[in-house]
Amino acid sequence: MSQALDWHDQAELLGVRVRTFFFDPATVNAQADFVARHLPNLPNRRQGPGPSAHLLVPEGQRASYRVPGLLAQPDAVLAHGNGLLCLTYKGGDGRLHAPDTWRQHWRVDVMLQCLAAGMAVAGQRQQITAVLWRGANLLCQFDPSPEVLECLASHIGAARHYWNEPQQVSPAQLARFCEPRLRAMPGLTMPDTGPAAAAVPV
Amino acid sequence: MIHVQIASQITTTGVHGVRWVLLDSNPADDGPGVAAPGGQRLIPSADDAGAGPAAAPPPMAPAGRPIGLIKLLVISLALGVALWLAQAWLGPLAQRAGPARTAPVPHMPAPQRAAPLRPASAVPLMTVVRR
Repeated sequence: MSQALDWHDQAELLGVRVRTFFFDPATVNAQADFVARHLPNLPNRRQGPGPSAHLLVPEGQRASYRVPGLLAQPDAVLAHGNGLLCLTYKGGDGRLHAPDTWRQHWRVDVMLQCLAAGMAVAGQRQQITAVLWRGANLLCQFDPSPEVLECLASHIGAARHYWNEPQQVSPAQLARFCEPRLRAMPGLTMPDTGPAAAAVPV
Repeated sequence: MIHVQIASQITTTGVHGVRWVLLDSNPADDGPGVAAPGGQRLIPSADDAGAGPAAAPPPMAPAGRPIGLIKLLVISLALGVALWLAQAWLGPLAQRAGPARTAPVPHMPAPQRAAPLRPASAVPLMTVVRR
């Protein structure tokens, strides 16, 4: 019986549903297992029977994933049941996030960069891929709207030309190119609109 | 086209829900005419003129010929066709601009000014007869 993971909060930020899980970094960072250390809300083998996520390549190594015009090297890609988990944990500024103020300090560029990397992984592996970002005390899962996916997918060629990259752009370059376009789209909730406007009860 | 599927949820045993998009297998360079700092602009600005070796090369047509040369060729061709049509319809330009324009214009005396009007007479024009 599969059930959704536990999340503490969620919000719609710039067309992306962001689910957040806060944890104690001292406790979680002391875990020996990679999955327990980076995905603290995901049950692992030690907590019970059943499938669990496992790394596609050994920890510390990064594989390249490529779709036409886009090359990504995510920090970790894990197989999880019928799909993949594309995890970024080296980005961001390393600050601690508070449950009541995390939206105000949200980094849209990091979120879009994770999504672009997930698109490269999903495109090359042809598997359903979930996109995650792990901060200092926060794990996030990004559920993008069709508008956001369409924007990222349709601007790869333009971003390649903008950055003067003849072959491919990185997820960071694609994210920086698409962020102002997404902010200009009507109907997408901006991160700086405050928690009252962006909050969605779990 | 490449099918990209992003999961909308994560469960304890896998992923659930799909957001999908199609990626062009050959993304075109159809972006706007701007470039990042250090990048190459699609549309050269006036600042590029005379910038020396550091100036960006002119944009190239798909066949590899400079667009500026093609523009110059088209403008020259259009100018030539316009001149030929003007000669065919209106005659040679030298004939039209010959004697009529260059002949000396005879001196014409200035017209005399009209005499100033005399003041009106004080005699009334109409007399009222009382009976």
